[in-house]
Amino acid sequence: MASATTTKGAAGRGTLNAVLFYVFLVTFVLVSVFPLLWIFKMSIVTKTELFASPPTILPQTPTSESYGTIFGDPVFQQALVNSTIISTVTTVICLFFGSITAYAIARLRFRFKGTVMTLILAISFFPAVAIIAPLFIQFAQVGLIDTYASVIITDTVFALPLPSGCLWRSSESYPSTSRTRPR
Amino acid sequence: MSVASASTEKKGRGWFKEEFGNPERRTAYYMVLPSLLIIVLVAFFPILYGIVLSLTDSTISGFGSFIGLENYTDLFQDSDFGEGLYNTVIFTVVSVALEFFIGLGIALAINRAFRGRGLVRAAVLVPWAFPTVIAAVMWRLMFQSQVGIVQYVAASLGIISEPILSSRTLLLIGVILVDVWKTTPFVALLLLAGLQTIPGEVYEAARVDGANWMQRFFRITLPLLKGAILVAVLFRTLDAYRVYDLFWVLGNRELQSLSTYVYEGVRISQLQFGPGNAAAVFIFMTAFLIALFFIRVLGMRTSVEEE
Repeated sequence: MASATTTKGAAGRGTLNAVLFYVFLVTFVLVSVFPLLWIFKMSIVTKTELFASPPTILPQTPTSESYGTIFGDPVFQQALVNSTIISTVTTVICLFFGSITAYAIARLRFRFKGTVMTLILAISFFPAVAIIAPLFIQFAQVGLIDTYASVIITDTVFALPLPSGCLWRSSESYPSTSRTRPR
Repeated sequence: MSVASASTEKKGRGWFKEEFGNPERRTAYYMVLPSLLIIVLVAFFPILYGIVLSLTDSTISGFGSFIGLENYTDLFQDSDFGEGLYNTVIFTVVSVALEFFIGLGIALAINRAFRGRGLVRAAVLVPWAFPTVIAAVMWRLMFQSQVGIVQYVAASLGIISEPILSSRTLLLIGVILVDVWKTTPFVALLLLAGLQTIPGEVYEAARVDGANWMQRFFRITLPLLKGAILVAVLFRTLDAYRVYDLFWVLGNRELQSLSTYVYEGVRISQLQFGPGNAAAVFIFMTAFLIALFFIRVLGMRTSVEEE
């Protein structure tokens, strides 16, 4: 709708609008990205520069020292291994179960389809903290505390709605918004 | 709504045979079974278990005896819980409102063809794609009084007179701003997706009829965007309501939210296990009521209706 308003009106106003639009866009992108650039800058400066006041805008003597430190740290290495294993396994399991569930929902007819979809979607609204204590006790009873399995299982449940939802929507033959349009 | 549509069908024993006698339907049940099973075991069963635990004097290592609502009365007398509830409600209302209005503005602005559109979309997703814990650590560094750029700039401009991290009010404002920074792009993209389903002819027709931009916005855009708005706002509200990592990490365990209260109660100081569990049940119930409000009162659709 905004593009249509600029087609009419004087050419000068069109240019002004375009300038304002790009100023807005640049501001928005800068606000989004600046903190990350700043943290990156903090990660490659020396300790003295880090604590300098007023802070430097551009790194004076870039160094990769901090990165050397973390990759040499066994705690960080273990964390990296843990994260890689957990995220890979969770992704594979989630895609597998999510896609077969999504297929059934998008392509097959069955009575409790609505209920199943509501249950799966309800998980994305679920306050995970509400079940930490019972879940801890459940996992303790089956000896899963401090294992990858317990984290992967929990992660899988809370990650399931996303692949299921995306897949059943993309494989549908009709647009879900059709009913909200005026006829 | 899906739940209602299932119950309007005719009841009786016949449906069971019909559902499981039909090979296609049977296959469908086999296909959804694994997902349902894990959801029930890991999410819904623990909720019931949690409700039972909250009515007993159990600890993390042993099941106790029934004590009625004592945990709940303890909970509501605990000032830490009150503070957590207050912070969480303020955080949820303010951050969701800001995210919605700014997000709607952005969505309306970028809902057109322009040069560099792909780049803008990628850039706005950067904060959202960042893990919240990392974002929290990152912003804490920027709020910090020795190396923090935000602290430095805000103090130089005279906006603040004390270190951000030592004032709970400033910290809460900081947490809200970080959430707005992180999630507004996501809200904008959800609303943008909704905007793009509105056919251009509707606006053409309105313009032919002489509607000005305000009429077009309030009579066409908003009503047709209602579905997308409700989804985005409900999703954000419940996400904000269960906020944990931002408070825990950015607040360095000093700023209480409902979720940090539960975690502290059941895991850190296990003396608070009972009230912690009661708070967990409280969060679940209130989150459920919020969702119900959106679905029943505001008429949100939870899923695609049956054919």
